[in-house]
Amino acid sequence: MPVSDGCKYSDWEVLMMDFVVLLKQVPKPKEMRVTAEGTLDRASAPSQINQDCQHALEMALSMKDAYGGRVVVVSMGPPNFQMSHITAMERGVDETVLLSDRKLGGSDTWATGYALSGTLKHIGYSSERNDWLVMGGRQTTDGDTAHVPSQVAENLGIPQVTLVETCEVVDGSAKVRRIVEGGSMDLSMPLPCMLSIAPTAAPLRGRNMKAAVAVKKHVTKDQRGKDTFKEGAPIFRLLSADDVELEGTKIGLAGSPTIVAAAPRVEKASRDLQLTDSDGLIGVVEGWQ
Amino acid sequence: MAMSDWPEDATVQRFSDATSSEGVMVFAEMVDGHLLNVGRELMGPGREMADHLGVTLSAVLIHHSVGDAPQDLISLGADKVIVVEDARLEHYTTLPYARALSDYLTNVHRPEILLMGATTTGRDLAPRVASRVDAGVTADCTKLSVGPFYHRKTKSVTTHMLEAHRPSFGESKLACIMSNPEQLWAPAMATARPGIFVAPASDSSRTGDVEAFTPDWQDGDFSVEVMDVRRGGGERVDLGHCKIVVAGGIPCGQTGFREIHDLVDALKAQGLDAEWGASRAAVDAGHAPSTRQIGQTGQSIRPPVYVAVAISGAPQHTAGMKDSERIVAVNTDESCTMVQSADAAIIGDYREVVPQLTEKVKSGFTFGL
Repeated sequence: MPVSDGCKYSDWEVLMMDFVVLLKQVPKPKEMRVTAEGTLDRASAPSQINQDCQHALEMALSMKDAYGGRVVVVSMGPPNFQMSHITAMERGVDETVLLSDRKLGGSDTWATGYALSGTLKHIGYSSERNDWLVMGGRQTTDGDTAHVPSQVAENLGIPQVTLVETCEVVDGSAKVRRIVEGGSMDLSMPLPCMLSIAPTAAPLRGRNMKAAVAVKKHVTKDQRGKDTFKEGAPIFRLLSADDVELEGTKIGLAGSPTIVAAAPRVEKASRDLQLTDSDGLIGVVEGWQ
Repeated sequence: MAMSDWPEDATVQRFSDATSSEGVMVFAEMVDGHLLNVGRELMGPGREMADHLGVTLSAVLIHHSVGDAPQDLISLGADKVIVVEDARLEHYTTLPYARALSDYLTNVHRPEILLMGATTTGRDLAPRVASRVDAGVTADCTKLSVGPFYHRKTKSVTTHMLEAHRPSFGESKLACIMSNPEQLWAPAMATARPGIFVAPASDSSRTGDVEAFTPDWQDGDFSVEVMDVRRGGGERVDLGHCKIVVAGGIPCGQTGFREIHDLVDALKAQGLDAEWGASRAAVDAGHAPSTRQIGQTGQSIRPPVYVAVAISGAPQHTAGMKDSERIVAVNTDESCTMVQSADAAIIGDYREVVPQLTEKVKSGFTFGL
């Protein structure tokens, strides 16, 4: 099977690493609705894997193709994130972990970075081991901050490179290409490390029939008819804030250093589109004065 | 803001008192020995907020060699410039920059507000520093101000807080992000989009202090190595000062951007400050040097007139030009984002439309400029 551009074979070296992917499920951008209170109506919107996270997932899967090892997806969010975990499984992910707890509601990026890094530590990924790396998408369509990968890396005490387009592992180091203003940089980083993946990286592959059949036996429907893992499915772990031993003062709305104080609606820059031709443009421009 | 209404028996505290912090600080990024424009721009809101708060404005430079940048920043309004110079800081990597900033904040002085440009560097560095020093950070702000916040739950008012405004929910709302009264930490951090704020006028007679700072470098701070850097060759093209910018998308590569060049040449011949630019896709395909790229990872500009030729308007591109005063789109697809968000659009093949415009310009048409 051909490997996507994001990752190159390196002499078929079998590394047996764990490629961890931070994955967020988001409302489909065009179908987002805002509630009367001005917050995002996440419950009713159809959801998908965040666009940039799809690139991270593909990067991890292509590295597994090249080097062997496992792809593990880690998320923080409500139980319905399992839908995206199942989608990821159908593409070849080996295991998924969901940190889900009402206490985490309202977490800003600082608190999210703390909670996700705590989850990674809890399931065994520490800076002491060098047989893993973690990646996330550049940013999410519903948060749009690009903060979380950096904040997870800081909490884990591991190096980071953001806006990564390509990655290969050579002689125990990750060799990555990073987008910068007006060009790119090649960097070499020790393992373990955090990469945030640029939207110009390879797109997510389609379903793998073998994987889809394998995951099917662990899936059932919830009360709302949505796909969910069967209880005790060995490929899925649901963790609470207490399971991960998170400090209560560092999570959720109260544990976050920032709050949304107000969110007034703004009128879109009202440009009054005039369709014209090159002769007509002269008249249109005169009207601007 | 309506939030300034609070009951008379509410407790009132000032943010800087509650957090033992003082002053406004700007991280002014340098690339290849040059101060980036966004650092100059941030001296505008930085100075304004410092004056409003009655505190000093400082700037931080982290680079292998800062040259005249300290005096530049003082001329733009800095009272003090903190300089971290080290031969190993030629190219940005996260850990040494995070060490330099966080060491200063933790061991020397903690400002109440810390601003950075939302460049590829600032968006990488700000959250890392925020998690290290325990601070809140807001991304990609387009407006910065200072004000009070009344917290109903604790019946307390915190005054003189950073109000970091950023577009959200697909730009339909302008969210105002402030420090959480239950987790009050300094500095309140924000990154700001390049090209949004206007740099203050430079006054070379201004004086200020320059303070050298040596961080306590740790093992591992330099563990990430830069192997190669490719930034678009050729001259640095600053599109920010142009009156009119004509930008081409990837289809213009079919004819080597010839029509774009001809139009810009005609505009220049009319005495206009005109330049050409390109979308990232066109740059990646080799049709234009990256020094002319417009968008999120290129230049952010807002010229009086922007002519978008065969550019569909991906968010990464529009982030760098949507605040242009007037937008003229040339495209075959009437339904594309660029056309739908333009002031005027001509639907047609650029190979026909752009030469027609060039002829008009040659006969005296200057897009109203």
